[in-house]
Amino acid sequence: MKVAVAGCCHGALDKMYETLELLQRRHNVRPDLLLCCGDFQAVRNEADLRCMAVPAKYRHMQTFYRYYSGEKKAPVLTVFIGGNHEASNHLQELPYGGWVAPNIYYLGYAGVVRFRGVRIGGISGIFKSHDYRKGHFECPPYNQQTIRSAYHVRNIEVFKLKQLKHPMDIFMSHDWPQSIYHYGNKKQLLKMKSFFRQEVESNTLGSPAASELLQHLKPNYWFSAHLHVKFAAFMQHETKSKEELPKATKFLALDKCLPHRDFLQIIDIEHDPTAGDSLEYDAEWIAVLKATNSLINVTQSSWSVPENNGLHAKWDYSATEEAIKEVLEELNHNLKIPCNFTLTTTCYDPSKPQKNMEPVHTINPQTTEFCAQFGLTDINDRIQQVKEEGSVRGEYEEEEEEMDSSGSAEEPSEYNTDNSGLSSINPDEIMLDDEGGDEDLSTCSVDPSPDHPPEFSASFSDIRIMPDSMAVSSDDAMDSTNEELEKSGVNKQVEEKSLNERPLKRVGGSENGNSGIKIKRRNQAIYAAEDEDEAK
Amino acid sequence: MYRQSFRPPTPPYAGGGFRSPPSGGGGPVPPSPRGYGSPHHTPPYGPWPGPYGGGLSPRGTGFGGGGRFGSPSPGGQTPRRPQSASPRYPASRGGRSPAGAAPHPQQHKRSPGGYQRHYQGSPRTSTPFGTAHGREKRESNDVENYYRPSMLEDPWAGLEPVSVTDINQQYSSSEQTTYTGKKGRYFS
Repeated sequence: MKVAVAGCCHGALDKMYETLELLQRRHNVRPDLLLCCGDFQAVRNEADLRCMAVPAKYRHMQTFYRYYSGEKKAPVLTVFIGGNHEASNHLQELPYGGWVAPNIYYLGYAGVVRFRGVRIGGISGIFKSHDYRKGHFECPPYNQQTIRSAYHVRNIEVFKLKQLKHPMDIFMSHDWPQSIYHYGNKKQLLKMKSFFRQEVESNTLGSPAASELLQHLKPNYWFSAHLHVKFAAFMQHETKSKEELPKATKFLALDKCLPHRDFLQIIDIEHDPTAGDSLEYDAEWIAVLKATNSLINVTQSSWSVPENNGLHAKWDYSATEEAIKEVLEELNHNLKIPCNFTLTTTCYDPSKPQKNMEPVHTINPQTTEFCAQFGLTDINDRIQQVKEEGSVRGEYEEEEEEMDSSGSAEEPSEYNTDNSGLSSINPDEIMLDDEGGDEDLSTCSVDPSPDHPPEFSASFSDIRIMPDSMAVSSDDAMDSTNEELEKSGVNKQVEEKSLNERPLKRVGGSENGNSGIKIKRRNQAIYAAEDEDEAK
Repeated sequence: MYRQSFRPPTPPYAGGGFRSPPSGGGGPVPPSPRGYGSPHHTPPYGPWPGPYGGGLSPRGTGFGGGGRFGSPSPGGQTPRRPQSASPRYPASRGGRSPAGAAPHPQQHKRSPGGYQRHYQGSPRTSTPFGTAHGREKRESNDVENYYRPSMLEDPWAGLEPVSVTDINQQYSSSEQTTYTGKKGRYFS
């Protein structure tokens, strides 16, 4: 079957589908499935916009809400993972995945589904070491930390995916697996993105979590986005024995959805012609979810992966054939994912903007149904339980407060440890954080939200819904430089905290935040190139 | 405690800003809740909306015979460009919002934020094809500009598989530098 793969969508669903339509018209190529590798921006209303970690200039309604309301219908089955610019409150409703609109399916924090016999897995978010071991503790309304940490990959999701034994056809991650650039045309990559050079050469660019999964799952295809450049690689995995045939992964990263960018690719994928046309659950994945249900953590406490080191009574949570069979029997061998999309909030109405709409922590009926069917715990329900327990509530909020005051600013950079050779001071840091992205700015302000009443767009952008530190966040503002941006976010946090007379420990230097914490900057060139590449 | 700026001024739902849709509990109700697949929606995997000029010869694809799906129909028609004046979906694609919203204005008719940018320039630069402003809009938003022939080409053409073993050997030293004593720290 033909599968369309897309990089960062950034809410430009119309353009994505129009491009597919053009391919159909011009080449008679019609994909059976569209896979989006994050930054999907399933924004339904103004409250969702508030939950999207993105610079204010990018905070536009875009086009998803029309698909949510039913005004439009996705013309092709669309499956996506989350990135680092999402309506996190919306995606959080579906921790195990679900429909965000008719014909548009979100894979959840981590998920595996099947379509026409093709096994498709994915993990949402981006890697940040300082949040990696935490539970999914965040819930709306987010604060300036949780609006970012909400989309950071957690080790429990990686652990669950690593329990899978059956072969994977396709896997998606928003950020690239670390080291993957060594398996493709690295020269060409660095020609296009010269500011990656240091991290590529030091082998520190990308997500170690995704790399771990890549080595474990060895899928036939791996698709990513995030760095806003098209890059293909061909990786041949190691074998455990000489008798075993080596597996290979074709990796492809794509650009974001903008004119003249390589944001879309049509791939031919072998499928099972006898399989149905519905999106289906994956029995092994469901069995793993059941086996690991007891491991759910909704606190900020670090969770260590069970290992065979004498400290854990159990470390193997993989699904036995019996467990998989049980799942199949529970479902009466009907694995079709029910088309049970339901609206859970009001949809944006351009004629009635609600600029003060507040995000609400919501239990999604799809998740309720899914959990009831398989005996799983709804993470959001658990979060709410914890918060509602009086004695625990104080502790919970105290934890958040603690995080507010110290924050992730104290955490080391993610992808590598200290590397003095990459440390530099970038005098343009804050200015570029705020002002960069001319190309994107023009695109976002003209193309994606043409239906905005001008007064709404203007007024909403002006509203200080979130402090700048939230809006122009580190990993969020610049995909290609998450860790650098984390630092720049820190700088802005510093500014804000300073105003609030709650300085961070690492506050130092001038009031404009141009010194002190920025010493962690690993390269400067990326900021110069930010206008073009940073994106949301 | 909550940050003041994030606390709903008037929590719309009972339970301190926590909502469980089935019970409602007051506050705004989702407009016309209905299940996916209700008669309002077109069936999944149904025909694509909009006109499709089938039978166009593909060009520049890297997929040879086109596989089992989407193979080019015979006829050998010359590829033609779509009507550039109508890059948008036809009106029939959309429909009214279930919430009863007024029809949305046509795309690209105005700038968001109420800021109209004019690129009229001097009269000498004007052409029968419209204002520079209009041309710019078309250039940036025409779906034609989103299309690239490489979308249909094999992205791995010319790539040979690279062995993990080779790369691990090559970069073991740098990895050691970076992760000395901490390999696997993310997963333990």
